Amino acid sequence: MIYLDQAATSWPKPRNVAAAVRKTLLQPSGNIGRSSYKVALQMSEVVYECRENLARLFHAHDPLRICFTSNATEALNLALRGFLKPGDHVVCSSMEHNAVWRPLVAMARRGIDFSVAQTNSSGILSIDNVLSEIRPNTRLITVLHASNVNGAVQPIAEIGTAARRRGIAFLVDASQSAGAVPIHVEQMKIDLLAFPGHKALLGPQGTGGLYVREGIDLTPLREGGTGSESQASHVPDFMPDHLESGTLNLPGIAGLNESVRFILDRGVDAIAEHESCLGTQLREGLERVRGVQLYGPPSGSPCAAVVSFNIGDLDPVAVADELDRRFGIACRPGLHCAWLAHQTLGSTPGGSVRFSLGPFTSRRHIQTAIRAVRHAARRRYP
Amino acid sequence: MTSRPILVAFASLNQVNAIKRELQRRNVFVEMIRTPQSLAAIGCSFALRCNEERLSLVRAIAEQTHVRIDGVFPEPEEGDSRFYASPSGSDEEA
Repeated sequence: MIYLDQAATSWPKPRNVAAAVRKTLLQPSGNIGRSSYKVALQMSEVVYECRENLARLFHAHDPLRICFTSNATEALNLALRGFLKPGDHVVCSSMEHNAVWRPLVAMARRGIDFSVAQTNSSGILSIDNVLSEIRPNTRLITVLHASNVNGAVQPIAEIGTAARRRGIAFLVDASQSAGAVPIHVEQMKIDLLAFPGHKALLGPQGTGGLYVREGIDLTPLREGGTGSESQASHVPDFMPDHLESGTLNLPGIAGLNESVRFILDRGVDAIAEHESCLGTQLREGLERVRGVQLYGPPSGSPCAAVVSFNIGDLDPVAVADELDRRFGIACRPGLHCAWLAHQTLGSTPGGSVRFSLGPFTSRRHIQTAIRAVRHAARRRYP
Repeated sequence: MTSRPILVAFASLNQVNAIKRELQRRNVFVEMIRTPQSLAAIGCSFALRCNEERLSLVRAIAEQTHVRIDGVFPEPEEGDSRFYASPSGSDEEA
């Protein structure tokens, strides 16, 4: 199989990830913060090490400002619902995933308005379009860093600087960028960074997290046991306990710790360079296939290794099925849980076929994918 | 200077880990334990067990990392045993 569905979930994982998960399941690890025998305390060190590695990856000063969630969707919901109050206004981009769009629509019903800053037809946001949507009651700007549909990377540092200058908090959805595109929360003026563990961070499913800058106060989504201040009738006010009620996904976090360590060892810049070269090779190859329409940003624009296309009016689901059956290529067709983005790119109602690459994708995989698309297109354009 | 063992209590195991890692970076290795209920007025507290001479360093790191120390307790001399008497009060801020 040629796996080109990294934007849905990454595969393969670095070798040590499965070993760490396995070890946590096969050997006693206890429940951190609850029990205090040796292995439970050792496990707590693994969890803290994971926070440290994530903080290092994102250039966050304090590992305790990173809380674990079960995925990026939970992290985004925590950020949005925990930060915003009735009467507030939010600005998002027209490339948002449903993980942001749906909560915003739901929250609009209880008095939290939002505006959509339109990107250009390639999905790239201009700072002017963001600024023009700001109102006196705008409290948050939320932007998808790298598109899960076409890889467009937004000018995060520019938006963050503008937001900070105006006293508006800045939430970044790093679902496609964390681990694949360099992120510097201090330099980019990011107040809240939501990330999944199982995509470009190469960790197990069921992991993710939220970085919360000091000074940003969130209302927890969940309240319950934290293993701290148990005599109190409310959750602790300090991070990360404030946002981490309930037992953590210890096997998942142990695996995530190993995958983040792998990324730190290899370097995000090196991974980004590898994926960018392959993405360019793929886009250039697909551009030459008769009947293929690409939805990516223009060449030379910042772009993650996510490539969306259609072959004429062929149903993207049928194309993906053909690629799977005849060439063993795993990819994702359709709307990619991002109706807003597909509307922006003009690929509604059917969506597109999406290839997404990772650190283990090779040139040979790309060559085979281009050949397979050429073969599929020939059926429509003989 | 005397170097009696002490327990430095924190509200959360996450905080204990943060301080422990910072100490490790300075080549100071300490033990984490659950704060005995007989010492801690607060529930489910964890502590670093170290020599008293490390207390100023622990305090400095706690201040840098914005972590509050919940209490500092002298460890009773019970040999290898870790049974604690009823609380005699903290030496530190509560």
